[in-house]
Amino acid sequence: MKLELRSLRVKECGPLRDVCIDFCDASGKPRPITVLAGANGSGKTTVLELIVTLLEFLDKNSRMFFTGAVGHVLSVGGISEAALSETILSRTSYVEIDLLLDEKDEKNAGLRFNNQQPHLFEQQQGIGQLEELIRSSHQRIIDFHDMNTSAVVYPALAPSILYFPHSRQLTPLRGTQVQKEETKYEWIHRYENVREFAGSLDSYLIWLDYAEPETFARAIEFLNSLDFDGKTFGVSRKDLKSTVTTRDGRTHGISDLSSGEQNILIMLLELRRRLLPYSIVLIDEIENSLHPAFQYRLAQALKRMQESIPFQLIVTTHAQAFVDIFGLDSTLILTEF
Amino acid sequence: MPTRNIKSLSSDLTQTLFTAGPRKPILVKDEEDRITLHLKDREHLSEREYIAFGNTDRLQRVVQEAKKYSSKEDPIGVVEAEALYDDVPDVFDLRPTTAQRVTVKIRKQEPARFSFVDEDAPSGWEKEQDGEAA
Repeated sequence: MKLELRSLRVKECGPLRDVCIDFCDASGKPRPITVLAGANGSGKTTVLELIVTLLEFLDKNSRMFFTGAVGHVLSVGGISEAALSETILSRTSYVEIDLLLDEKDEKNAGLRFNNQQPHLFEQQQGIGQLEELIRSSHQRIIDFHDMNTSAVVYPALAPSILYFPHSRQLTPLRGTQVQKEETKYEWIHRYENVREFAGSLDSYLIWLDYAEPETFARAIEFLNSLDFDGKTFGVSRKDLKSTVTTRDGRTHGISDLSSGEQNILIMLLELRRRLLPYSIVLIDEIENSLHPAFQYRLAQALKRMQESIPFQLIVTTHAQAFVDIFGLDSTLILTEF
Repeated sequence: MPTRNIKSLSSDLTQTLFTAGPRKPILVKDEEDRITLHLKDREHLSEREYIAFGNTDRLQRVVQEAKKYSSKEDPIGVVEAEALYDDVPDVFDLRPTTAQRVTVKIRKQEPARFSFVDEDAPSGWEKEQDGEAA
């Protein structure tokens, strides 16, 4: 099922007083790439957080509906106070998302949250089909599939929302026990820095090396193609660590890569691992720690990825390189002028 | 408060606003002017950003578009090239520096005029001619 974001309307949330952001081009179709630009404090991160948080409520299995003291949904169309208090919606007066679900039928659907008593969470009818698809996609295993055949391999899976907040780093890990690292379908995947071995990229690569040699070979080929000055990737089974070998033969762990290299590795590897057709990918401060040369490289890699598998990309940035590559006609300015 | 619609603007205005960020964009004609003002106004570059525009028509279109969508009275400043070095507008509060550029104007000198009397002219006739000094 196709899923594209058409617009976002927000009232009273952080710096956004009353704004409507249009993600469509002049012909009214959602742009494949949107660059959100603007001064610090203009609301770029707030926009991404609102999109993710509101869409999260489409998944009735989501933690949003089952956390807190109340621990249950007030009604079919309502959100518990406890669930709400953990989200950016508690600091929002009104937010509405307009989605395009099927281009052929021009099927539109909307989600609306109004922060009044009771907290109303409304959705248009067309969204029911998407909810059903999300529900049936849970527990399905996806992993580093062949990008060219993903639409064939996963015809019945719902798309995902893949969100990369601004803080992205690989930290030294505690624990050394080999974990089974299956990548299961998630409606919302929010990248988080992990300190435990389980669930880390280290653990993931080691599991692939142990149990999925073909996928491991694809993963290593992909990592080596990132071209970090001739560095090559591998796994030390003896040390239970993923390794990076420099051009002059020295070896270190992936958490010893530079912060810029880590950023690129995290984003591209996670996308390569989890991206399903027609997903929405949100990246906050995409240029973090990246030299302009690497900014161009990342932008071009994302465009190439988009040619293999269709997805809607929304990034926030202060860096000219992404405007150069993604285009001024894809750039929206949030700063009030 | 009216809803602020955030949508695609022209490439020129998008680039101008992207470069300026929270600062006021000041449009100047060419890159040489931009560098001059950038150096002169270092102390205030957190408040304004000079942007070279080249084509005057393009520059005017951007100013008009900005006014159309802006919530401010004067969203974009423009510095005319003639005003750059001799008479910098007060609004920019540009302080002279030792590296201030000086324009030397060279004007073509008019030829010196003189007259002479033709000694051989018949009596009663005086012939006056124009000519250039050697």
